[in-house]
Amino acid sequence: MSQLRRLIGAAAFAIVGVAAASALEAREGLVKIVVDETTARFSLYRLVDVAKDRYEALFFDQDPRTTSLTLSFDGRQYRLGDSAEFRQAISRTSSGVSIEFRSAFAHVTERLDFARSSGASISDGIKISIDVENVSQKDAPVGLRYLVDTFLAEKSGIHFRTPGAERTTNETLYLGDSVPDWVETPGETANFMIQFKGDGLVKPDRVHLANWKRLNEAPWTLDASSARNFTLLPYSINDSAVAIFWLPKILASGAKTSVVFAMGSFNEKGYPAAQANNGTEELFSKTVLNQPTTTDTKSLMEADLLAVRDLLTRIDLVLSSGSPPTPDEIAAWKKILDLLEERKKGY
Amino acid sequence: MRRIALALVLAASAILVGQEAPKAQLDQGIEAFRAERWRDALDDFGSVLANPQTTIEKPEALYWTALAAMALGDQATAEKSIQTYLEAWPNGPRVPDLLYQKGRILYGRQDWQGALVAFAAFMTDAPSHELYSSALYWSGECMYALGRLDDARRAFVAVITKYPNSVKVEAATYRRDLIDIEFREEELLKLLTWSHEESLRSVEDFRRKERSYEQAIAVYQNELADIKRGAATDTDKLIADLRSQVADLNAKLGASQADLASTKAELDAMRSAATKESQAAALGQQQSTEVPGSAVPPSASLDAEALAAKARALDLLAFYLSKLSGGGAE
Repeated sequence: MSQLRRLIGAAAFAIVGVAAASALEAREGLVKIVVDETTARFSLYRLVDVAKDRYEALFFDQDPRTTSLTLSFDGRQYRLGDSAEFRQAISRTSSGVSIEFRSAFAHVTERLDFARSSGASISDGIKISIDVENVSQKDAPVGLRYLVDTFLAEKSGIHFRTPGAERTTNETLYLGDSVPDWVETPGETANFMIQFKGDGLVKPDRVHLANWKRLNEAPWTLDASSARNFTLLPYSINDSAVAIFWLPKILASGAKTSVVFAMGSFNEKGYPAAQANNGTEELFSKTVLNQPTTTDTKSLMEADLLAVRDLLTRIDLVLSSGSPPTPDEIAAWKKILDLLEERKKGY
Repeated sequence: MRRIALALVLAASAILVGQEAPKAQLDQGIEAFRAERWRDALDDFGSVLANPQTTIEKPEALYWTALAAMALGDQATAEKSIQTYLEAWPNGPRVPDLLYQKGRILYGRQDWQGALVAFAAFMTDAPSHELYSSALYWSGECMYALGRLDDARRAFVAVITKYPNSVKVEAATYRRDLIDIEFREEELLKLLTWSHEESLRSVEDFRRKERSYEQAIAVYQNELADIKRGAATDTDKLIADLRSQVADLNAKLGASQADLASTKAELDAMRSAATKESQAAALGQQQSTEVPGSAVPPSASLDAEALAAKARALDLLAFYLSKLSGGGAE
């Protein structure tokens, strides 16, 4: 009985402490990822004020559960993070965050890797790679759905912009080749995009722009109606979202399948595939090898602040890894710090 | 002829004067409304509506009647005026305002579903209206009253995040926090129910085990009684046999212990000889390989360098933050 009481006490403590629920946070460049460790859902932010360290959410972050990943396995749908059949584990990686979901029949790994859009010198988005492994004894149809609770362009009524449409006011379904390269939700201070097509990305089979509640309450796909707008009367008004589908395909027992897409700050050219690896090498490249061309002191200081913050993240990551840094890496850090201290004299 | 012409001119003037009267009265009513003389305003608007010459002023008079009646707390008149307007002029310029007011009236009457529909119609009709955030807030209140806490929370959060300057932000924040507390309370109640069921199951389990133990005790007691009643002579014989076996075993044990002691003594002598040899060998090796100053492992020095780099980076970070926030250098 006392064990039971302790168990109840712990559970009650966990529930009461929801407000202070732990979250894993990873930052690089202009991007911050926050993963809720209870629901294994993430929120994505963009730095909008360097000096005040102020970030703005790129999609709805007040309740991270509203953006979700659903696995369709052998005809059944599992909302990952909610499904009791999956155990979850969240970890920081050198390039971002990894979220793992494990069950008796499937292992799903969602990797969120910092990424730079075309021409950007620092990270301004992420690439999301989802690997699914069939660990059951039989072949099974496997598909994925990613529901993103967009909100930046709701107030303006633009909802979504695509390469072919300046605004989207009604529910829209894109299938197969009609799937656009990207969709954008332009906000007041930050513009958010999801990129579907591009080098290294796996084009989805179906992209559905619709009312969030309508998409959220459907376990998988739902029939699209172009006569509908982004309101679901009377409970959900002017509330848009994107559902991205990779429809079920047979996955052999023991086999793996992967999908990749990108999201982050809007850049019409998207997020290219080939990028220097994250960490010291990239930091060295952008700080030492490619020095800024601007002469504006404030911009220079802001760039240096981001560089030193990324360097601190890298040092902390190495120190917490348990294995010592390599002499080469320490030399690179010193070189970066020497350069930043030299520049500091001019500020 | 002149008389007829004069009569026609007078009649036309009278008509014109008559057409201006509702307009003037409407303006007078609006003036009274602005001066918060609701009763006077209502009378003026009533006169406008009762005037058979009223044409274009009628929708405005209905609109202001609704507002004045609401200000007076006469919800029945207000609702009737709104309904008349909405049916007669479904595309009129006052439709959004009246939908909002209709929502408020229905909310006041605790017709949550009806109010929700009116607010939703208002928000769909006028997405840029200045009362949009208020309508969103009242929709949240309706959904809260209907027990649709998830939907209500979403509406309150939308007010907070999308309309941070709205007068409803504070109330929406309070409601959102209240819903969060209700969610937690719900979870705790579930937990309590679960724990109660669990404790009932434990009690039941305990009673079942208690019964089975009692039965077992009864069986053992019966067996014990049987033994006590059994043949005492058999027991005595058995004890005698066992005693003789114990004596034999004690003798064997004494012999074995003597053997073990002598073997142990030999083993200790051999071990001591071996230890002396290995110590001599190790001393020779250490003298040949020892290098001064190698006590610190290389990984510790690398970690120290990493920490030094971190300290430098932190200094730089503090400098930039101080400079960028206008606090001056160092």
